[in-house]
Amino acid sequence: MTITEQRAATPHSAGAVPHVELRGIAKAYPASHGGGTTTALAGIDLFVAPGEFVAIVGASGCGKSTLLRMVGGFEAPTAGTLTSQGTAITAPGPDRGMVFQDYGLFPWLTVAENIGWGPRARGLPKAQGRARVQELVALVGLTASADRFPGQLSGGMQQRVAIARVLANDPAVLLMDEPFGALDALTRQLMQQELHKIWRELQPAVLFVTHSVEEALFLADRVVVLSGGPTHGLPGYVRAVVDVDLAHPRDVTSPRFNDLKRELLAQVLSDEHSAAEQA
Amino acid sequence: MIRTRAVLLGVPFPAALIALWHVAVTQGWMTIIPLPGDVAKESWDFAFGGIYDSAQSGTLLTNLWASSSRVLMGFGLAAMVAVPLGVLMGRSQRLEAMVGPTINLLRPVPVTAWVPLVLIVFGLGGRSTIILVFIAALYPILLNTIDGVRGVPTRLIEAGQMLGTSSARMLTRIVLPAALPSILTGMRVALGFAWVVVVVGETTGVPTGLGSVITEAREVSNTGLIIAGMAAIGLAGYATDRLISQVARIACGKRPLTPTR
Repeated sequence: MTITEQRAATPHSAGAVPHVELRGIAKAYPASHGGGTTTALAGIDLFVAPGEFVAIVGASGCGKSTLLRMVGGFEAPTAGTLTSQGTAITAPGPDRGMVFQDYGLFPWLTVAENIGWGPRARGLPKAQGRARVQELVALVGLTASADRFPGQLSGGMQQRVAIARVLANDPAVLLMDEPFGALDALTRQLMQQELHKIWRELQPAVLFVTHSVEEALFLADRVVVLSGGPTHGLPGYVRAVVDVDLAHPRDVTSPRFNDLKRELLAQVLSDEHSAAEQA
Repeated sequence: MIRTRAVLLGVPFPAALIALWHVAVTQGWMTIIPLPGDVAKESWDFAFGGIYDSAQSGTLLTNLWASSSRVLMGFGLAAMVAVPLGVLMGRSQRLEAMVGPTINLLRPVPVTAWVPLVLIVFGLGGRSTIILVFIAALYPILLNTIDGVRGVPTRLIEAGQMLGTSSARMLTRIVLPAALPSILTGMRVALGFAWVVVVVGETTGVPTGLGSVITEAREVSNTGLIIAGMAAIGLAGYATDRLISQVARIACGKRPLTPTR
């Protein structure tokens, strides 16, 4: 367990080519009133190694979702370089599969058709695509619901479909934007276990945005704490990077887990405290 | 059960209207209008012949077909232009900026104001009527398509992008199905207009069609046939409206069309 202030998040295993690399990333918006700009993020360095699970935590408005959307290629940074497997990121692509909080499933397609979207869009032979879909449907435990439509499924089941749909493209990295934020507490826990199982099995690199410190600690190899944000009058920045060296499966009630959780929570909330003191 | 209920609830009102009509004529409140029974007889003759042996006896099918084919051709032409154009205009702000103003200027021109120009360009006959139907059906389909395309949830577009969907596939497999409910609404409105306009077009000296039947009936003061023709137009309009809903229903199967959010 190590907490380093503002340390650049270096690759987990030395020598490995990072799947995703962010260097000096900044994002500025035109200010909502008056001229000038609001800087949402500045000086962000981040690396995600192959097979590594990296979580980004932070309070609302710290820019964590914006950061993920930039990796996704949905938004462009105003400064810095952003690469996926060594290639500059300029647009969304199947190498960076995104799992949205609101699922984003195609409502007129069945579970199997949603999952098969990527292989079909890439022109994979039908039989090959079908086999892959069957595999993934089984992986997320939805074989019995393969021919149902998303509107007939619970939120947790819909999110499983969304995860399988992205995995069908064999992405270099899985981008997850508060994927379990809309689920009830129990489903959320089950989904965390499910995701961990899938990650263990397929070893995709994951960049996971959440505001739950516990969720981040349960899942991630490394937790990046993002602080600041325009509401605090300064751009979002990497406040701390924590290597989580707890063995899996992690016991969220263990003393070590809770020590780590307390420490991380203090980091996440430090801005809120200082803002409260100033007020 | 539901059918019986629908009949029980739906029949009394029009039956009462017809009864009132009958009473009004026999009591002399209305003198120019024939009795419902006479109109029924005239309708039978119009449909099957054998009663009056007039020029219109037994011509319902011929005229119905003439009008319907004009409606469907004008409507089909309009849909073929308006759906692709609407999808592109809804997705491309540049195309919208290029074409939108022209369409907004042309749209307020009533179809009746188009009649003289269309007649000069395309001449008397069914062809002009088809063009008029096309003009009338174009706008509702186009506007509803643009609206529907703009309303496609951004999330679905983003999902398509990050899954590696080509832009052509994006239009046909994401934008089009997501906008389909709105497009269908536009088509139903357009079909209603198409029937209005086909009758207008057929009053301009076209020899066939339900519009020409009621125009000629007026010239010979055959009020019964006028009403019979009106009834046929109403029923035909209703039938095509049902047809388009059924076609959409069959084409989509049990697929839900409205996005879940």
